[in-house]
Amino acid sequence: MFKRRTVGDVTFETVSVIFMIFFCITTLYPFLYLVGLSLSSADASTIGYSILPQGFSLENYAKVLENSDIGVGFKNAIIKTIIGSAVNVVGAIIAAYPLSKKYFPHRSMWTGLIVFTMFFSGGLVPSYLLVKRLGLLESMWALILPGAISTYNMIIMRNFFMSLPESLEEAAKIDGANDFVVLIKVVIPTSMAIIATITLWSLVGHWNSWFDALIYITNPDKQLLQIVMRRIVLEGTVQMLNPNAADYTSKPVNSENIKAATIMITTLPIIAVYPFLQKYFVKGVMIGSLKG
Amino acid sequence: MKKTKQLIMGLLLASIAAPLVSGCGSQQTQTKMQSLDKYVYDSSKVYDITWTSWLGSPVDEDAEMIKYWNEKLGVNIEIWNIDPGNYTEALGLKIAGGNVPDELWTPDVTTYYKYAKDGILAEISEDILKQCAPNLYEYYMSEEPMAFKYWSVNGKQYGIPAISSVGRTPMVYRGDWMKNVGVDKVPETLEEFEDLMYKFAKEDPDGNGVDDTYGLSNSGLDAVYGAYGLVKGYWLDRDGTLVYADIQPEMKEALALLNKWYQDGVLDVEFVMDEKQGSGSNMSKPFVTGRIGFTASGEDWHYKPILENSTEANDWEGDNVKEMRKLDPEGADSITFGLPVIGPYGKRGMKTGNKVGTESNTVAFGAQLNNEPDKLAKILNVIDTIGFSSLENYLTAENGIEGKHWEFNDKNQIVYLDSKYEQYTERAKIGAHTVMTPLKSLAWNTGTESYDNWIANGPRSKEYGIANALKTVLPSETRYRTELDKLASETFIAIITGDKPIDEFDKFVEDWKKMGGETLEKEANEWYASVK
Repeated sequence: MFKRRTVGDVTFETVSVIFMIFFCITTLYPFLYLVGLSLSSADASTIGYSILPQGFSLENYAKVLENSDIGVGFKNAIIKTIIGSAVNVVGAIIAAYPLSKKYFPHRSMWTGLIVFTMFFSGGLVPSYLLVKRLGLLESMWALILPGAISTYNMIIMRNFFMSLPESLEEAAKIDGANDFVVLIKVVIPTSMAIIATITLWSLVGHWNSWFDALIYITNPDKQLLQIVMRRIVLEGTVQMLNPNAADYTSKPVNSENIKAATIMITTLPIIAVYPFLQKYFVKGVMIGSLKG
Repeated sequence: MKKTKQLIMGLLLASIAAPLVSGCGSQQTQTKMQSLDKYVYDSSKVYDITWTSWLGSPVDEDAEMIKYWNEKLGVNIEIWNIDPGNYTEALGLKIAGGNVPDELWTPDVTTYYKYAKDGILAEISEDILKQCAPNLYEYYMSEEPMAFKYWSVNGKQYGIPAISSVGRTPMVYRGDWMKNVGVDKVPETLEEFEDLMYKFAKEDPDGNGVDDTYGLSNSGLDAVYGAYGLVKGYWLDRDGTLVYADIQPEMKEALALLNKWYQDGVLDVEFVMDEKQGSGSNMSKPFVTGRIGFTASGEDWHYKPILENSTEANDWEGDNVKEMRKLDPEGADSITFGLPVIGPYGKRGMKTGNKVGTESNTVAFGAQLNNEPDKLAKILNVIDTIGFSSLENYLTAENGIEGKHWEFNDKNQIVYLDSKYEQYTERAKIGAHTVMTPLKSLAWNTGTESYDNWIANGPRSKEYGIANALKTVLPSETRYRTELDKLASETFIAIITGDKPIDEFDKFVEDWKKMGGETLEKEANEWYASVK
């Protein structure tokens, strides 16, 4: 591989490396700043811009974990994320598989109907009314069922299935397999890349979502970690200011360091998932790209 | 989405229209007399009341304090846990879903107007309040007799504004810097102020041998406007007419002065940025880090030191002092307060809030209560009893049960028996803190004697305040205000930095009027005439 490199090649690579380094810094810096802040001791100034913690201390984390709301929220968020993602992935597979088959009757009409929902939605009030009348308020299913099928994920899954050679299915059918066996024994094992990708997206999506929980769930025993975190982090900001006590009687109870530690604790679980799914991820996104 | 909402509003409107119509007419006085008789609650009945308020944290089911009030007052209160962060949106959804809370708390006057016009609120009147909530009524008459009038919508009253405690923006100097530049008197006049600012900028007040200081930054602009008797964005009463501060000729002079300070390097080059930086932070960054020597950012209590002989247990230090202490303890201890400086026309003042104004939150009542006047009477009684009748009830509502959650120590300070209740979020969970006091008398704030003393002798923030003379939202405000504010800010910055000549101000005044300002002026004065 000793190809002669022209001046142009070298310039291009230098420029892209420098660009990428800057890009990485801008992405990583805020994160590292929070890490530093969360590990700083309480009497350190929060005003300096340093990613190195000022005086190492795990005290902030201890305080956050002591908070009973965090524990309840963590449990609910994990359950919701796992069940929700499972529903998403299974839903995407069973919707995408028939739609990927050319012999499926009225295929383009069904696809069209589903794609339509990507561009037009009922809006917030009808969604709320729907959930309310289905009796799902205060239930975890209010956070899972309305978004059970992600159209975008389903289309990507469909495109992936369409790229599988038809001969695979034909061979299995000759061996006596029915449609379900084909799907479970042939299609799914060969599609692990895209399934892993969709799983990761679903996990991240469920983990990050909070607005639906804010409007559908008001019982403190059912609240999600994200709502708890939001409340702690926004404490003392204009959005959350307490106008009932226009003076100091509701001054924030949490310092900036504790807010940073709360953010870290909420973010770490989902970051921890990435390394395990990373290898499928790149492959999956590439293969899933739109095809005719 | 809109249609569904309209439909529901329409239905609601229809359901309440009948009693409203019958309430008007020629025999008004007579009807009034009769109608007051129905606003009496039945003391043998237990009323179910749905309740909203600002919640520091969602309230637990079977919360202890809610039970306490239920038993004490003979009601059955159901708290709606609505997150204060997206309050209006979340409440709007519930209302669209067909449920209007009996006691409806709204965070601002705009939401209140909207609900009143949508017809989802029950009508009340001063007479009803006088009869059903006598303590509340008396308190309002002593604090802000116009409060109910300000809150009327098309001549009818639907809500009660909360009364806020108000303080003027503080004038804060670094005492150690003043000493270093040889000034021992806190500026009284704009000239003295200017002199001190130049010294802060030019005479190396921090003594590090580098020219790295400025006199003032963003919040300092307000101090200069104030010396001309102006508060940017406020309406002022000039000889009985409301005028808008931004377009007054004195503003031009203030901008010319600021332009000079900017050219001379006295006004921070970064003055365009808000001094408060970072989320949830109240501190003025350039002040805390020793970049500027004067600030008017935040509130007086952000600069409060720990007081000797405080009447509060665990007395606290304001954010700015606390942060400054970490970087420069000497500077933190030297914080000095001044009064608004006197300008060339003998005026002095700085922004202060309104006891009742556009930012006041409001308590209103669901339209279903039009048909249940006895229940409305009971709810008013609950509000009156908890927030206005006695110190004991107020302390119980805010802190929990005496002897169980808290007690007085020998210095008459409130001490929580479980230290977790020091956090207001924990108190909110059991139904204390602000849950049951959406309206309350500010007279009950105890433990603040030392604080009030400090306010009166330190920042003196009850003096020389300029309040907004307009206490309502104008009909065309949403249409024009954003554009006009943008125009004003851009022009002011351009003039101060010298990008545009001072005379650009005259053109700005014309543009401001043309772009809708004239309409606002007209509406403001119409409103002003209506409440006189």
